[in-house]
Amino acid sequence: MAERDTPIKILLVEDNDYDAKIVDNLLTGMKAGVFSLRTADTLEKARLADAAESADVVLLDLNLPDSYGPDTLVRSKGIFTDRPIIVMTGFYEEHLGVQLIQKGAQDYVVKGKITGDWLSYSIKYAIERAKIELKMREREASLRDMLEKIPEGFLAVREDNKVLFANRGAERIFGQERTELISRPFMLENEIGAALETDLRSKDGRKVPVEVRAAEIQWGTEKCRLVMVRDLTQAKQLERARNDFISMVSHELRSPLTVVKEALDLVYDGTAGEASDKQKEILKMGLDNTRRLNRLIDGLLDITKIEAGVMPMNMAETDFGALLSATAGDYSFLASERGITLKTELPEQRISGFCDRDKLREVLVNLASNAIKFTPRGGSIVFSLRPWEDQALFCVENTGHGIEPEDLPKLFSKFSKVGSTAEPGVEGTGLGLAISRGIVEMHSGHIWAESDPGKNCRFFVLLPLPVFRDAVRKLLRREIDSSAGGKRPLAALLLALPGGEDSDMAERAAELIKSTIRSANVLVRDKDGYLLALLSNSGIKECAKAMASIQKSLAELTGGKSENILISSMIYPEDFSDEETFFIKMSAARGG
Amino acid sequence: MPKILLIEDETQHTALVKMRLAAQGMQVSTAPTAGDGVIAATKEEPDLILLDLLLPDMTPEKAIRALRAIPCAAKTPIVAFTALDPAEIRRRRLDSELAGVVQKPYESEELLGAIKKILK
Repeated sequence: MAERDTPIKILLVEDNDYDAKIVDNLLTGMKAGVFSLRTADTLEKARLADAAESADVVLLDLNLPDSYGPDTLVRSKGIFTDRPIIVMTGFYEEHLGVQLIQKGAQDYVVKGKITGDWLSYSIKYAIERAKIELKMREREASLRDMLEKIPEGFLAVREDNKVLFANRGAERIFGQERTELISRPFMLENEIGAALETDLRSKDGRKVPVEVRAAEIQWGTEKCRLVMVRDLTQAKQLERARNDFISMVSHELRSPLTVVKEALDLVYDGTAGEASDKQKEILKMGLDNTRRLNRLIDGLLDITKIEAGVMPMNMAETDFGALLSATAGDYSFLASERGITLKTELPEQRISGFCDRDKLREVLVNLASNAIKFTPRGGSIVFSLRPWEDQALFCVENTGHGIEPEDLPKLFSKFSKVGSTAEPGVEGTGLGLAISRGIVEMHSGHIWAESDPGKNCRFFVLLPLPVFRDAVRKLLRREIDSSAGGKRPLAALLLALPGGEDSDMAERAAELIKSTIRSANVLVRDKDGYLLALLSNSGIKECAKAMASIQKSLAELTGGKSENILISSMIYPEDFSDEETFFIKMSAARGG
Repeated sequence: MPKILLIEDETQHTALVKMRLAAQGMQVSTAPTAGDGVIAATKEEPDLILLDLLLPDMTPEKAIRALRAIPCAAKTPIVAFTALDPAEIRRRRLDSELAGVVQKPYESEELLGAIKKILK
C-alpha cells in the first residue's frame, strides 16, 4: 500500500463520548500526520461535516439519536457515496457482521476489542478496497453506458434462446420494449462468426433491413451467444440514392445528348441531304463535343462506381515495364511534335504483378497526357519505373510551371481546377486524376504528386505486386460483401484454357466474357490459362445461362474444341461461404 | 424489306432513328409507349424490335414480358436502346432477354451493326 502525502480524513459518527474518546486515543497512538479525526454525534451532523469537507473513511456507530440499527448503514451509504464505511458496535454478533458487509460496509469492528494497529489496518485496507470497488463500478457503468449508447442492437441469448440481456439499440431496431424482448424466445438463428443480412418486421409493421452477427460469450455463469444487430436502413437508403443517381445521370443527360448527336450526324453524313465542306467542318465540332460530353458522363459514372466499390475488374499478371514503355511510345509522336523530349527509364529486372491492365493503362495515359499538356515547348518528360520495397514505383516527371504546394492535395479531387495553365488546344474532363486515384486505390496502391514550383512536377504511383491468390482474395471479398449476405448470389466460374507465355486464349476469352456477360464483374486469369469469372447477382439459373453462352463463344474461339474448357462453377453462399472455402474448392477443381 | 418496330417515347429521337433506318432501306413503325408497342407488334409482326428501356408506362422488365406474351413476338429479337449504365442493366438482370444493347449516345455504325448482325 502506497503511503499518502496527506493524512487520511476520518469521520467518526458516534454519540457516546466515551466510545469516541477510545477511538481518538487509539488513533492518537499512531504515527502523527497519518490520520485526522473529526467526530459527529448524529447522522445529520455527520452529513453536514462531510459536506463541509469530504471524509476519506467513515467509522459508523449504528445506534445514533437520529438513526437506529442496520438502517443507519443504508442511509450512510447514500450520504457518503463511494467512501468506505466501517461499522463499529459495542459487542460482536456474527450474523450481523455478515449482513452488514453484504449491505456494503467495508468492515465490522467491536469497539472494546479493537487495537490501534488493527483499526489502522482496517481503515487503510477499507480505503483501498473501496477504491477498487469504485473502479470496478465505474468500469461496469461505462461498459453498460457504451452498450446502451451504441446504435447497434446487442442481445445476450442463452442456448435455449432465452434473452438474458437486450440494450436500447435492440429495443429500437426490434421496435419492442426490453421487457418484451426478454419475455419471448429469440428466433433469429445464425451461425457464429458469419454475417447475415435479413429483413426484420418491427412491431409497427416497418421492414427493417439488418445485418446480424453472433459471437460466443460467457454471460455471468451462462454460456450465451452475443447477437449484434446493425440497422442497415440508412446504408440501404444511401445505396438506393447512389443507384438512382447513376440512373438519373445516365438517362437525363444521355437521352438529350443522343438526340443532339444523331441530329448533327444525320446532316454530317449526308443522310438528310448533301452538306458543304464548310458546313461539315462546323458539324464535326458539334459532334466532337457531344462525344466529349459523353466521356464526361462516363467519367462521372466511373467515379461513382469506384466509390461504391462496384467497378468491374479484369485482372491478369502484367509486365509493368512493358506497359509503361507502350504508353510512353504512344506519346512519342505528340511529344516530338510539340518539341518535348521524352525519356523512359526502366529497371533491369522485370517487375510484374496482378492488375487490371486497361485501368492501370488509363492511369498512365492520364499522367502522360497531363504531362504533355503542362510541358512547354523545349521541355522534357521522363517516365520511370523502379522497385521500391517489394512494390512498383511509377513516376512521370515533367518540366514546366509545376504546381504550388497548397494545390498538391487538391489535384486528385473531382473537377479540380488546379493547373489551368495548360498549353492551349488540349481539353480534358477534369476527372482524370480523380479516376486515376480511384483505380490506383482499387489496386491497394497510392498516387501522389510532388513539385518544385516553377521548375517541374512529378506524379508517383506506388503499386503492390500481388500474386494470383491475393488478387482473387481481395476481389472475392468485395463481391461477397456486395452480395448482401447471399441475397444476391454470386457465381464463380473457373475455366482452364491453353496456357503458356505465347497463348493469348485466356486473354481473348476474358475479353469475350467481359463484352458478352454483363454480370461478369471480376475476371482474373493467370499464366497457366486459368480464368476465374465472378458473376454478380447470378444464381444457378443465370450461371447456367452464362456457361452456355461462354461455351458457345469459346467454340468459335477455339474452332470447336471447347468441350473440356469449362471445368467448374460454384455459387455463393451454397457452395462456398468465404475466401478459404472458396480456395479449397478451387484447388480441388484445378487438381481434378 | 425488313420491318423494324421502334418503341421510344422521345419523339425527336424516334424521328431521327426512323430517318436513319429508312435511308438503309428498312421499314420502320413506331410506338411511343410499351402499351402501344404491344399493339403495334401484334399488328405489324416486325422482324426486330428496337426498345427503349425507359418508357413512361412500364418498367423494362414488364415491357419485355408484355412483348414476349404476344405469340408473334415471342421470339422476335429485341435490341434495347438505353441510356442506362451497363451496371444498371446487370443489376436488373435484363441481359438474357436482349439480343443486343445499344448504349445512348451511340455511333450510327453501332446501331446499324447491331441490327444488321441480327437480320443477316
